[in-house]
Amino acid sequence: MEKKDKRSLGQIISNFSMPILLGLLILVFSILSDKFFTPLNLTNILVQNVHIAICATGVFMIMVSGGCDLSIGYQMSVAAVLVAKLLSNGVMSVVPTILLGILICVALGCFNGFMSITLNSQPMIVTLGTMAIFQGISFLISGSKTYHNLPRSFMYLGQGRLFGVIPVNVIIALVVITIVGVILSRTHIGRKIYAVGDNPEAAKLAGLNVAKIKILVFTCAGILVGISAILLAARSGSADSSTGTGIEFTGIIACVLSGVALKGGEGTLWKAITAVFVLGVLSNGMQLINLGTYPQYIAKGIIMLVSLYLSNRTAKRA
Amino acid sequence: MKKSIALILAILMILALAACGQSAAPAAPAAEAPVAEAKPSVGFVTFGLGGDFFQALADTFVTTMNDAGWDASYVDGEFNPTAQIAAVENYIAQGVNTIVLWSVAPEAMGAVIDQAQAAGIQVVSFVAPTEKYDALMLADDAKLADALNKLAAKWIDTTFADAEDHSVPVAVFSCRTAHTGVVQADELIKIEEYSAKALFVKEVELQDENADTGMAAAENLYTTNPEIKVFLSAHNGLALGINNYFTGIGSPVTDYADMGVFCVNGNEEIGKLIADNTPFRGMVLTGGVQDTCNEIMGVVTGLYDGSMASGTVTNATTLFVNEDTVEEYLSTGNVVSVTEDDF
Repeated sequence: MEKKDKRSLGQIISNFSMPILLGLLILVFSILSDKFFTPLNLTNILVQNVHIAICATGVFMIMVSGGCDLSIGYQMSVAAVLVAKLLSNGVMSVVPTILLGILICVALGCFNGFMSITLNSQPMIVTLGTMAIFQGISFLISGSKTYHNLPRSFMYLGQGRLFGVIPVNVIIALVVITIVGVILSRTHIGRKIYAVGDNPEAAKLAGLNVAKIKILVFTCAGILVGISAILLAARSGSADSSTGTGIEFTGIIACVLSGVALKGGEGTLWKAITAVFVLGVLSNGMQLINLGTYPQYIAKGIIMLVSLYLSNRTAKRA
Repeated sequence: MKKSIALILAILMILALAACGQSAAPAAPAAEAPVAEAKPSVGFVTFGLGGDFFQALADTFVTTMNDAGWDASYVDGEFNPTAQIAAVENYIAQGVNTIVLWSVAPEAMGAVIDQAQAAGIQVVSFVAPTEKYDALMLADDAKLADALNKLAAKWIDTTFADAEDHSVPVAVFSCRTAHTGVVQADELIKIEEYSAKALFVKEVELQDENADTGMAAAENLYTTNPEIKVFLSAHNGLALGINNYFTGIGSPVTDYADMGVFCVNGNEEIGKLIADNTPFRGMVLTGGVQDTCNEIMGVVTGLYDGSMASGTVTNATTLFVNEDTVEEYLSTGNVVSVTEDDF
């Protein structure tokens, strides 16, 4: 009986490692800083991380399908500078520009999926190459300039508050992530994505068009990346070719910490999103307690190792 | 199908390489057909690319040197000493006449500079002093930060003339991941030595120089220290982020009269913000891009034709851009009406 209880407790810790870690971090920072657990700061954490959460959702989809996309940061960069350039120069109005930004990311995502299948190579390697292409495109568009003076109506998406309280970007993120979560967990296509990631050969034998599903995943991830880019540019009020770069690594780290299998086929979206906020709370909290740059790196690394240990306890037992 | 795709990819690759060859950053050819008057060649190993200033400097360098009759090119130093060493080695192999080098880690470049000089190539060290050089164009990182302190101090003491001594809270936003950032941050936190009214409250250390990082940090700082209204940064990206936060829709501040954001190595976009009704009040930089490239051209040409002695050291001028000089800066790319002596 005792052994069973211990195993249940261990399983609970593993299954809920991310929320437990998040709770612990909130507790620790609340003790270390009286400004941490305030409505203002908690709202800050939300608005600072929702675009990362949306991006991480795209990363999650790709990883679950057995892929990896290292070019996401520069996809965001391309979309952000294009949108910012068009809006700051008054070339197009807000809505068509936003749609164009999202479409660009869809096209880039689709290109990644197509190249991965056609070249029959690991998506991680393929997207290393496309990352360089997108980087070049971003700099060609931006001319290494920063674009600001964006319309207020556009910036409202990233900075506005509904009823003066609820951040608009948080609402957008909630809706988008919920839709994706429902699709992945409750629909046929969601199950197919997991199947393709878990065992592509078996999926193929079962009659699934593996190539088509993988390209679809990259394309859908492109929609999410596009939305993330729009929200980031709207929140920043400016964009240049460094906007969004590196964000894919935050997404990948969050997915890995939450237990998404690198080979694909396994993962829970809500855990990955929680992991995004673990990293976000860590970053926010470290600043509030005035932790220097170098100790921040160490603290981040330790938290990541702890998360990995907790997440992988279940895998070991299996 | 696969053969067709392979063929298409090969053609795309060839076209891409050809397009790169037409761009402003061509690699100098290994050997050129003899011409009646062979152009001297110069290569610029940049600190890195990816920001307005760095890219503009590299592009303008090539244009300026080409117009002066040189065959010019640049290579991305990638903010990485190893990449820079490889770049210098490649230029040595290409047999350029002169290399302009902006070192990320000057102490790491000794051996490769020796190789270049042994191969008869003149080496101009730009900004960061290497141990050996044929000419050194110095821009002292600490002096630049010192200049920003003077610029900010003047604004603080004027704006808060009636305030008690050392009562105006100031924060420094830093990124200490590179030596320049460390040196300049260490200077900026000494703001109290330059201003009778300033009170250094906090240094916010960040892991990168991006505008959204600066914005999030400004947001977080407002949570703990809403009284801070003056911000100094060695990084224009972080300073831009601070400005974006306070001028954003959800900004807790609408009256910027007592707010000041200052940065080192700003650019034209930041100049426009200084001219506009924003918290941005000033920036210092080492000469406009064109003037800097003209100076480089003068040094490179002087060394080549012997009119400049080997071992010459020149110091970069510092531009002080604030509300009084921003129009001059935006229209001419330079500021001559105000110098360090005015502070």
